[in-house]
Amino acid sequence: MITHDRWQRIKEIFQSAQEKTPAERIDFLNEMCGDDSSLREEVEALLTADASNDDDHFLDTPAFELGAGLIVGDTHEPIEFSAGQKVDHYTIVRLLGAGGMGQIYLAEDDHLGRKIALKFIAREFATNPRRVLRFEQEARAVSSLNHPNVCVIHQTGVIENNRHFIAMEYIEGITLRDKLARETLTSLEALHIAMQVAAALASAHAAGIVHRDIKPENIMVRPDGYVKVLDFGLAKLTERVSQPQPASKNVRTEAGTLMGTVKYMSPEQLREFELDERTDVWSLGVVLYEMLTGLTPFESRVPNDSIVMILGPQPVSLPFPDHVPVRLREIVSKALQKDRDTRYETTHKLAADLSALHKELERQSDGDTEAINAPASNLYLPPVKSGKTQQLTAGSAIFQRLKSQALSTSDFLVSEIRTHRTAAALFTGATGVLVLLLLLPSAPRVTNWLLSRSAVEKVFVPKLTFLTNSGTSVVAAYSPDGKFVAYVEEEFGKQRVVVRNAITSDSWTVTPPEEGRYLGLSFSRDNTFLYLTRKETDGRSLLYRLPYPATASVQPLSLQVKADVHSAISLSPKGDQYAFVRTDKNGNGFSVVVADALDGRNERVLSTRGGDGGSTFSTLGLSWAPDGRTIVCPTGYWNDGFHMQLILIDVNTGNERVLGTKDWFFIDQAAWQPDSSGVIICAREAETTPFQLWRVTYPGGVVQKVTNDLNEYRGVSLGGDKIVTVRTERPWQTWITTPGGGQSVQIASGVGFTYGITWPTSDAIIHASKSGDRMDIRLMNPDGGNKTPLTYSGINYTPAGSPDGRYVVFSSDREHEGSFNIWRLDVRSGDLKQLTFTDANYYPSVSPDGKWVAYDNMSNTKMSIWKVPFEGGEPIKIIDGYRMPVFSPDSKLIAARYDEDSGSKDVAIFSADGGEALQRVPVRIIEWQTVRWFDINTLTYIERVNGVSNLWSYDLRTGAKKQLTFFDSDEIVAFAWSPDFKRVACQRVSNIGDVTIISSER
Amino acid sequence: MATRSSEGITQLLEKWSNGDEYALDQLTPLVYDELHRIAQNYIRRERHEHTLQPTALVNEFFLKFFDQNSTSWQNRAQFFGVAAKLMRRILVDHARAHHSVKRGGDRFAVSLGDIAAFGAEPDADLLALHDLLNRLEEVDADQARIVELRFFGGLTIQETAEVMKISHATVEREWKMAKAFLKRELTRARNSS
Repeated sequence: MITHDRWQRIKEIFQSAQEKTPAERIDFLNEMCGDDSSLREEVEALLTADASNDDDHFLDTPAFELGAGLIVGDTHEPIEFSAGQKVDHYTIVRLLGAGGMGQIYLAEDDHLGRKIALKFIAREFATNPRRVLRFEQEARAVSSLNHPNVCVIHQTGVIENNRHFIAMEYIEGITLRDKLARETLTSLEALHIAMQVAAALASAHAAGIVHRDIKPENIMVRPDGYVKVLDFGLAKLTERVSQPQPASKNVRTEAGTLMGTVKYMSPEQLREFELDERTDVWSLGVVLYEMLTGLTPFESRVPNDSIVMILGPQPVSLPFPDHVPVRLREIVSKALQKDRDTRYETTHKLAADLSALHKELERQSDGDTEAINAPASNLYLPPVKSGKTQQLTAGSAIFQRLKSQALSTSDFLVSEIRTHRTAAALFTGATGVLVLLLLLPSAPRVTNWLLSRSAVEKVFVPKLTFLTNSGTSVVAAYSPDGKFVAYVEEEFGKQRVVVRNAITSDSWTVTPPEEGRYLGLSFSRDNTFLYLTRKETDGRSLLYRLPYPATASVQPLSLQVKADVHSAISLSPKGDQYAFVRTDKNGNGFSVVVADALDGRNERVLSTRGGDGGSTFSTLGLSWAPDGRTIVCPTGYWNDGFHMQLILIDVNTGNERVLGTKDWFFIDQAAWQPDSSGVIICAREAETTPFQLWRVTYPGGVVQKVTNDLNEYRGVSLGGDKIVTVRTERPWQTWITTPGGGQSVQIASGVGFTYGITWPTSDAIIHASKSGDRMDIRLMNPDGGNKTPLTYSGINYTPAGSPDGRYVVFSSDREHEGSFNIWRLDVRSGDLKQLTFTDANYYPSVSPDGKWVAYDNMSNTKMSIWKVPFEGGEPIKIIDGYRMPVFSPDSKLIAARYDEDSGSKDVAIFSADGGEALQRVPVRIIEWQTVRWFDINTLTYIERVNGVSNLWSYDLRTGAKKQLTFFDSDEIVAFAWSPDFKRVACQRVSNIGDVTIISSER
Repeated sequence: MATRSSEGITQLLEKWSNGDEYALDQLTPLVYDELHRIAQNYIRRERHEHTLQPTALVNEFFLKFFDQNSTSWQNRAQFFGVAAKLMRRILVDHARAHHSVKRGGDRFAVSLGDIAAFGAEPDADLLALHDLLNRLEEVDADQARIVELRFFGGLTIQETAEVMKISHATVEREWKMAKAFLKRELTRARNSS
């Protein structure tokens, strides 16, 4: 050990030596150390170490950063990668950064020797395989963009431990965020950056990819001025991400997820509307404004205030520094129109304006700039158009009204919270509570009620808790005591039943994954049995019973107790009987039946529906009242479209009466509240509005909203005062694929239902998809570009192109809401012609000779196929008992769907003039899906195996089947061949469902 | 929460700085909780951001955690001294726990990547650094304190000079030598192992 004195001596020599030149040092050391060689070694070693310290910055980084690494490591990602480690064919060089999405490393590509950036997706974003898949599909689409301003994605992949990574272009530069922190940009510099971002976005939008998260952190600026936009498609992973229990934590995470980027979110994004490219226009507008002024236009230190400002009315004008050219202010304000219909409709146009101005400014930068730099007093665009409410949901219409009526920020806030889920999550994030409308008085009073402070205080605050987060849940039910929840999980086309202890959160699978579809689950009143109604693959619908509380062991479903049960059952309060809905063999008759719970005997039919009126009972769920005297059941009928109401059936007399006066387009399921004060139902008001939960009071029949947001909730079951339902989502994509091993490309995507696709000419694909509460026919190029809606009013679906591509025929209720007829649209001129004048006409098909339009009619539950001349005229009935006609290539035959007695739906071929079926084709048709002719001898159809759909062909002469596409996920709901039959466009959807508990908190 | 707990923390810190080791036992979980809470907030807030800025994070920690305006602190020097000691203690404890579980743990590998000399076994090196600093303190308490303030407390040379009431040049000189010493000893330890 060195002594204190010795150390002082060493220090003296070391520090003096520092002041000498290297040449002087040797003499100096010789002189100072003399014969003491160990002293000399000591000093020399220190001098050597000191020299190396300057080179490698030893200890220059404070241990703070260790602390941060420690903390982040502990809370975030337990596994990191060290230099030299191999990942796929990459070698890690060093960590570049860690963001919320995961960590990014600099790495070297072993094959190509180039540097790349390797981003590992944080585990929490990779828990749901479907979302990862959606992201990867998007990444693939992005990787095909090949635009100089888009950060190139080289590869996505997964290594052991399910770590997903993205290999992307390594960009040497800084983020725009860092750049803005360091310097103030001139208008010209800001324009130069914005222009490049707009160009990147325009190219992505042309391919159907919306970025959704444009902000300075995602824009890299290279030293040479080149701009690269990062993280295309990554937003896919964070949309409604991870929902770890408990729910409070989850909501906080979701809220937090949005917190950082609220300032760049468009109004429609905050409202969780379906997004299109205009959301990116908005966000780029915010970024551009920030580059010009140093602040975002709706800047506030408090995220809540930012939200209020973003969702609030259009400001009369936004302040700009004097040096910002007038034209540039105009561009920014056009990008920042809150009503997206008055915003730039495409980034392409925004990019064009930016680059034109850039040119202009560059040209003028040497000369006279007066013309551009005029003061900005009168430059604001006209005020936002009011109206457009017909394009929004009912909830949003309220929002629109409130927007003009809100008297103050707080009133506006109150209404927003109650209308929109994202905003609600943001506002209430800290407490982990989603605020929804509950016990809302009927519609006409909505506005007053919302604005009335005193009324607000009386409101229940429902709390949403997500029991599952895999996205694979289908049906759920509560035990009457609220202690257990049973739900169905579907994976790879197989369903299994899981029971979960609501108190301990333990859960266990009680049936093995099997084919067949569970229609409903019900607990017995005394908590001794779990009843399961399942539709088997052979079309039978059976009731099973499992002992309960179920044990952790998985039991095959062998305890079938009753056949021909077509709905979830509901037990009588005493538990001695149960009620269910039965449909007769051809599906045309419906009855409400009660039977003894013990053995399923002593059947008694209480009420029937069916026949010419086309009326039905819902097969999804009736409910036996707590008083034992009545059963509530949703019933439907045709009268200017399809409607459903609640009826009360007297158990003893079979007498019926309607509960309340409101009707819905569809009621999924009904459940009595235990105190008989009302019935909670799951219903949608119109065909294109989402399924929401409602309460209908008893006996008054007053209708109130339980949920009021843009999600879909399917099913309702009560456990005490809690509701269990399944929150669902249905993302779709359009893919073009070349059968026989060709490439597949995604050209469009969205969320919600899609109804039909057609490919009449080589440059036009026409499909129907939902956006907000609109269902429109849309046109696009086969590369996804040039997306144009063709319809603007009513609900429009099942498009079919004419052979010359000039017309599209489709089903629409544009003339009379809820009443569907076949219409013909001239794609170029927009001229419309109504071809049928009855009700419930769907699935048109144009004969290849251009003479006829065939369609089906469903106005009573007896389906039939008709045809009408293409130019209009008298419709002719072709055949009864069939649906979804498709003309053969020679126009002489029609292939259509018919329903087997067993309940399965197969294909038959008959003459286009009618008559008996010529050929029955043993391919099963899945609901809402049609076949397509490939040639006169070949039909193509959708086959679903293990939950995954692919296209197959069927040879009508030999009966041979052949698989044509090889997708490994998702369902195909519609497809269309290109005119040359070389490519096929597929509409693919995935269903995402999470079991959700709704409880009320005062 | 920060306000409420910081009073207790301040008192505990005082006790600890007066030699009450028991106070540290109570302090450590609080510090950890607070660090985690801030880190989580930070991650949430920065979810979409491209990089995490660790320095900003820890600065936030110090600002929130230590009520440096509290009258009970005799002076800034004491405050920064205690803060640096605490950070050192936490990191060393963490490294110790980590090192015993998993030699050459990978967690620090990246965080320490920029500190070149820390090489392949950063946990071990952090512990070695800690031991060396103890040795250095025996022969040169000022140098050890400078290292503690600079490296563990994150103070600049100027700040260190102010806190220690010595000249900028002296801090610079002593810091340079302390680093050389630590580097040499670390290198020597590695080469001989």
